[in-house]
Amino acid sequence: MNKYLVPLLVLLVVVAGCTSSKTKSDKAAGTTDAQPGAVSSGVASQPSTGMDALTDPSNPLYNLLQERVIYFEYNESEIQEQYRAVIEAHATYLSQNPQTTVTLEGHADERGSREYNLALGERRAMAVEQQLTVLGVAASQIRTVSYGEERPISAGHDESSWGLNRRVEIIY
Amino acid sequence: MKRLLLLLLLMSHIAIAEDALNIIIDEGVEGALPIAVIPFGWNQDTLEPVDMALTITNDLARSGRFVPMKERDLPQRPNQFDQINFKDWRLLGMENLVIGNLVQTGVGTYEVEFRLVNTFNGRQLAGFRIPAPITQLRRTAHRISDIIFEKLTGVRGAFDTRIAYITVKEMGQNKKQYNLLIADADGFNPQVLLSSQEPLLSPAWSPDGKRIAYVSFESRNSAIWVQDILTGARTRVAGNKGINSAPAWSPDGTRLAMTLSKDGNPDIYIMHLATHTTQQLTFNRAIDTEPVWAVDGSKIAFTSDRGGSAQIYESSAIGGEARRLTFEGNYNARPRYSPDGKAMTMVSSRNDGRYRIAYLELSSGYSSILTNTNLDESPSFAPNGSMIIYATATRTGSELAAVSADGTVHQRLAMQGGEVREPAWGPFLSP
Amino acid sequence: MQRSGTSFKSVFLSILLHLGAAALLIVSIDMNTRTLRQSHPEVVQAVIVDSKEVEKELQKLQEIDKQKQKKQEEAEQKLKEAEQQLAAAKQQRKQEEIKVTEAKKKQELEQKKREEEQNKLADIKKQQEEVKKKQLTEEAERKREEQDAAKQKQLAEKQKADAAAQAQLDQQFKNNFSAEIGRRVSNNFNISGLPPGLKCVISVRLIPGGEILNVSIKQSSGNEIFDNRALVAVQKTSPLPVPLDTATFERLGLRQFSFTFIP
Repeated sequence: MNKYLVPLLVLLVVVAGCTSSKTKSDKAAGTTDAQPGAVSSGVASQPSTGMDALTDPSNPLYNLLQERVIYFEYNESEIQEQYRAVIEAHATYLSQNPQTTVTLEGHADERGSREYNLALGERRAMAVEQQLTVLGVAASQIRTVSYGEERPISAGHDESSWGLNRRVEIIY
Repeated sequence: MKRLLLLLLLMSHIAIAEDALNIIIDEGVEGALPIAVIPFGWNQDTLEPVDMALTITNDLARSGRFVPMKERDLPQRPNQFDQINFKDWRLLGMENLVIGNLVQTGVGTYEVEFRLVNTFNGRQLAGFRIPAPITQLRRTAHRISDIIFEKLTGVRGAFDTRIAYITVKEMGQNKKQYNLLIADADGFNPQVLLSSQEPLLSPAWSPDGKRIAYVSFESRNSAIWVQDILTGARTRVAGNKGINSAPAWSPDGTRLAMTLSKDGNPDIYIMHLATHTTQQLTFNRAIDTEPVWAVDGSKIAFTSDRGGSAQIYESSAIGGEARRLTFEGNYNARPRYSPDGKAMTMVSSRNDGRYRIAYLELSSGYSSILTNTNLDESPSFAPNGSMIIYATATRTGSELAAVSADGTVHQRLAMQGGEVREPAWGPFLSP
Repeated sequence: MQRSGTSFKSVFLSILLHLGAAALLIVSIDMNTRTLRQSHPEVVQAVIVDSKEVEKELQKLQEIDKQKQKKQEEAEQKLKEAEQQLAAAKQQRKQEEIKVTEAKKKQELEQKKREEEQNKLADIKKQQEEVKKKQLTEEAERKREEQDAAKQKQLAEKQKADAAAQAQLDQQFKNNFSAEIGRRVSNNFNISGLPPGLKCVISVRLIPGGEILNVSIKQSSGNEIFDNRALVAVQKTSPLPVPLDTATFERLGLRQFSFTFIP
């Protein structure tokens, strides 16, 4: 029993930490909300270039916008913290370009049944879609599709391949 | 009179002796039945159009229930009953013998005659003469296999049936070709029903074996199509936003159960094919997918992760509370009922990272793993319930395999065409 | 001679009588016998002794006469007297002889009577002996029969014991045989795909040596495939490992027996 008690307590602390950090990050999100605004104003301040953030390497968002794949844990559709900045960048871009549409392609690794994986891929795509809409992107700009395990990036039957295949692709 | 007396005496002796010893045989062995299929006689000098004996031999061997004698080991090659040297066969312990003849009766017309003989009592267990055009010769061989199978196992044979499956070919430049095919159960006579550059999946036979429903991504999203096998005519029956997948025919062929996420979450719906109207069966926020109808049409089983992991549930076909059926392992998905409705096969993982084919006995809830591979999928019962066909990952892709419902017999089915997946065993062709 | 003969005869007779009557009247017969022996020899002895002494006296007198003339008359007188005495003796002897004859006659009569008695006794004895012999024979026979019966009984018991031992051996063999055959037939009995709960009885007929002559279904399971698998299982086991000698084969009832298939 004690064997589990300690990890459980740790878990509780972590959860608590997460909750507080989430509250914090919510605040932070508020600040970041201001930042994209600043960025967007920045974008707006440089309209004369005519260059799109997706193609203009000098754009501060450019590097983040090149990141177009969100990877997932096995059988999970929760977006990991490390992709927050990427998703925020795409949200900013899409908000600034309301005419632009994006396709979110959800994928799964080959394990399990195809139809379940199709649903899992969709769930991942919808997780990203939800983040974008929360960050202000209009639902009409987003299209989701799931290919399940039908379009793997890597054909191997190992963890490294599966890790690459569990993903949502952001396609402009 | 004397003779009669002697006979009576003998009989009384026998009557007394009869009870002298009675040996109880309370166990037996599980194993394939020996059988010898003699190359059929052929009345022409030309090469025979179909090797009947070989086709039958392969059928019986593939079932796992028979171990046909190798052709080179045959002690004799009779084509007629009175040519059989019974003693030779008995000495070899070969109790079942199939002999026959292929006779060309006209241009493109043939007659196949065969006998199934028990060499120990010299009796004919079955014997038929079947006229057939050249195009039906192979099918005739499968029908003979069916008769033999039923005569010796008591179970209707499923050789004269077909399977549907998907193949994927690398076309270069990151392009692939997806094919939906049907073939005889032995893999011969493959016919491509549909080719696409976009994924095809989930082929499902209509109960009458005349149509196939499947999922195609040709419109850049999943959509459910129904295609007539003979004419090739196809109809898109579901192409909503989100997922349109996992079609499953009702036993009467009038409805399709399917998975739609048009309302934001994958749930089970039932579509009336005559009107294309749908009614929603499940309303859970979890993934509900892979529906399948019970044999009597009263229930629908499906995969759901409503309990935290993918497990199999069953609900009435008209909706209502779902009952969880699987409790072993962290993953159970894609159920298929056995033809007698007493069991189910599915993909199962037992916390070991392996995804294998399992067999679930519905009355007891007892389940067992049938395969020993790591990545298996799409199990499908033969219409006689004896075998389960499925796909299993190989180093280079995937191939078809079959396992007996009791897990004792394993077969690999070598098919042409690279990656082969999602087999679906069709219904009996003849009623 | 005569005396001893008579004595022998009488003794013999007495013995015979004694023996013969022993079983009947021991005391009385003993007395009679003694009487007979005493009276008769006394008579004969007295006569013979007297006559000899007289003759001796006469001779003595004649010698004295020669020597002593004086005494002649006396002697003649004495002679006369002696003659008279002799005559008297003669007469007496005659009478004695008559007596003897009579006695002899009587004796003979008695002898005859005795003989008759003896014969009678002998007959009785013979009869008795025959009875006894018969009894003895019967006894012996009975004894022999008893002995025979005992022997027979012993033999039977031994046979029984032997049979029991043999039966035990036979049973042991049967058990081993059943187990071995059961194992072989089971190994040939393919139950793949057969429904549970079926039972059939197969009758098998062998020839000495174990070759199966014929198998038949004595009781069907109702499932043709089950029955056929059972038949083949038995047939495939031919020849069965039966005892090599035909007598044992027959005794064990291996010419025909049955298998009950109830997997």
